[in-house]
Amino acid sequence: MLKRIMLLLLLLLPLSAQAALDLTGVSMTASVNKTSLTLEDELVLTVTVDGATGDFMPQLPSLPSFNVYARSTAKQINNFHAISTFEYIMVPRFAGKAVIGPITLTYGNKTYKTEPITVTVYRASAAPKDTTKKSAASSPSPVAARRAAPAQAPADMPLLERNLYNMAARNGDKTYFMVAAVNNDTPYVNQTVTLGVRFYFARPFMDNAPYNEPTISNLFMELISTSEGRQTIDNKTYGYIERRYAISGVTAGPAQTGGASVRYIPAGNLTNLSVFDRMFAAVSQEEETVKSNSVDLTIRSTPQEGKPKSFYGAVGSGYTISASVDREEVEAGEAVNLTVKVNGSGNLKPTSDLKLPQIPGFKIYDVAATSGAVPSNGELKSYKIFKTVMVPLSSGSYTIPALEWSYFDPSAKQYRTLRTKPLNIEVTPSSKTDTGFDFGAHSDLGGGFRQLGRDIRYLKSDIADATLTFLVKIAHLPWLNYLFIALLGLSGVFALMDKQTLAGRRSLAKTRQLLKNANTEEQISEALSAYIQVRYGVHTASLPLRDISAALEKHGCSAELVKRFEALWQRLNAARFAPVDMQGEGTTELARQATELIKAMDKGGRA
Amino acid sequence: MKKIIFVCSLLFGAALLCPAADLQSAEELYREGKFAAALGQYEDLLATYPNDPHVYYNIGNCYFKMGSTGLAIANYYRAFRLDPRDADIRHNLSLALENSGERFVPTGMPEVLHKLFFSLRTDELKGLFFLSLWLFCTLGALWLVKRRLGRAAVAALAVMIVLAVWYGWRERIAQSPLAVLAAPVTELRSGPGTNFPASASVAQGHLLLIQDAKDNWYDVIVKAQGLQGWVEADALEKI
Repeated sequence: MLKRIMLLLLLLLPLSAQAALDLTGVSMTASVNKTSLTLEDELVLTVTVDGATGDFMPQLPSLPSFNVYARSTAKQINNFHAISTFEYIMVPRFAGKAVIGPITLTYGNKTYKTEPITVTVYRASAAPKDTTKKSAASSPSPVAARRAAPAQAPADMPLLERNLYNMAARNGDKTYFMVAAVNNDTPYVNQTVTLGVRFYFARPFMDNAPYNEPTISNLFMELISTSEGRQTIDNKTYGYIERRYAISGVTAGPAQTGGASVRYIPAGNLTNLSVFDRMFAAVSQEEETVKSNSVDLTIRSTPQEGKPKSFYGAVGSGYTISASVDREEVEAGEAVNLTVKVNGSGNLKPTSDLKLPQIPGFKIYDVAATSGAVPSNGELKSYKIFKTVMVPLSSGSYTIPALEWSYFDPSAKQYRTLRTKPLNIEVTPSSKTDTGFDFGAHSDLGGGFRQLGRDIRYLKSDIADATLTFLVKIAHLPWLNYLFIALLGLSGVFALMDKQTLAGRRSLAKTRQLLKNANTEEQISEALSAYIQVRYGVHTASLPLRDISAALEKHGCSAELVKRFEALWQRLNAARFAPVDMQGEGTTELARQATELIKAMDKGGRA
Repeated sequence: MKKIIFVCSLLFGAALLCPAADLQSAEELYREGKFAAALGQYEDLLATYPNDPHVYYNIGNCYFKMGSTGLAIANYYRAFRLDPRDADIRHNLSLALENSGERFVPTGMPEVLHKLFFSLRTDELKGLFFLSLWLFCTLGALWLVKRRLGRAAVAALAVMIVLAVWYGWRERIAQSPLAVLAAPVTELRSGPGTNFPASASVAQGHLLLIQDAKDNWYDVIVKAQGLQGWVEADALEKI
């Protein structure tokens, strides 16, 4: 009877299952595997849709900051509950904050949206910002927990395995559980530590259990290995699947790895079911999820003391450096490719680019850096390659000096500096430009001379005479210019100040003195003649009076003064030829009149 | 005391001999064809003799022999500015410019006139101009006060004007933002960056006039061709 009912149900199942699925609520969530990454890293965006069946596809928003290059879809139906997971693998295009906008899903006339997600993208060489957010319910540090708990693992066991072992020992009462631990919870910035995540199971589970990687904050993370093993806890044997990651802090301060999780379907009861039940086991068994603990770290800065200039942020050990050029002989103006390669244990991706020194005689272009990391023997080996183009400007033998690159060795707690070997480059003159020696310019110069070519003249074997020439000394006396220009200006001012020149003034003073001392009419006449000559430029010698008068008027003397001059001149002539007894009083009077006349002339007796 | 004087005289003598020894060793390297090594020694001498035309001349010779005509021209020019009457400097500068397709004496100008124009250093010409100014001022003052030597004052004025024009012209040439292409081959671009297309390729040794500067780029005019474009600062050497 029961089997008949089941057969009926089997026939009705496709219809009823669809109806049951449609009745359940639909929800959608989105998450990313990391919130801080470099331009060289991948970002996995996971969109999980709960409760929707049929063909549908979430609509991604515009993602200008990313290139989406892969997509995968997984759908599961469990207990009439459909879970669809869409994974998008993306690579960032630009450094900086990138926002993944709300992802939309239109299903059953309803639109569902996720919250926006912000991630920070760094350049491989840039110093990233701290993106750490404090966990609201942070778990105790595994190292701290290890310290608090009684040691259960053998003392000679490696630290990470011991931590995982002890963490697992605390969960011995569970059938399925996950733990996570690190081998160092106080690393330096860029120092690589190993994060181990183990999924323990005491009973089998169905295959295809989806695994979600731990989320990270203020950390870079690379998967380095996956392994399986067994561990006995409280006399119960567990199998475990382990994943190991190399993680490194991006800035000093707190950092955290969130819990990793596994969704599994226990398969322990399948053996007790009938064949019919086993057919529906996939839909009758409950899916369960376990999540590992989160791990808190404190990232330390490398010490300032002793930090070399050539330190670009690398922390690790066993680094090596090498430098090479693609050509050791080159023409001037041709490019030489210089490659510097650094590799070793640790994460070199976030370190800064090598700064090349100025090399005389070369034009050096910007350095381009590439980096990569490869898991090897359970640890992360990384490399960084710096390439630049150098162009020699002139011929000669050049040596590229040893290039320095430093790193911090955390085990020795000191900086170590690596040096490349110096590289020699022979640069020959460029064949593209004229060398300057014209061997082809043969010409006959005549006289038995024949020009074979032209070259520059030979060196100077001495230092030039540095003695300043007379003219150069003069050039160092510019202040004298002002003196001479002032002299010229003053002379001009004196010349313009009055109608008379200085010579005229001096002549007036001299004439007055002569008239004062004059004893004869002859002397008075001579003094007056000299004054008129200087004042008006009129020569009185051997000229008749009317000509003198005409000349005076012509040179600007007023008519009144000319009349006074004529009267005085006639009286002087008369006195000069008069009898002797008439002299005496007359000479003094004539001298006075002459003095009055030249005073009037000096004051401006012009017509 | 005598010992101190003796030591001081020895040191003084050594200081005097030092540049001669440096010059001699640089010359030996040059003769052996080790031009780059000789260049290094001459450049070291520049620290002691920053305005010596002979050192610049020798540096120019080293660059010329190394095939860097552009840098050779730049250094010959520096030497020429310091000693324009030196026949060797004139010859080598002229030859280096000819090799680069440039002319030292402008086309159409008699060489005699060019030599006359550059027969004096700029500071010597300045001194001569000052002398003519002083002479003119003295004669002018004399004429104003005494009305004597008027013709001489006019002649002095004429000489002073000629010297002022000559000196001003030379000063303008000296102050012009002249440069020479130092890189073997350089591209002239339409803007200050490699993202702008190249309009011409120019070989080293061409004289340039700098018009503008932006970041690490110069807007230049190639004197010989009149081409204008942007070149990277590393490609040219300012004179």
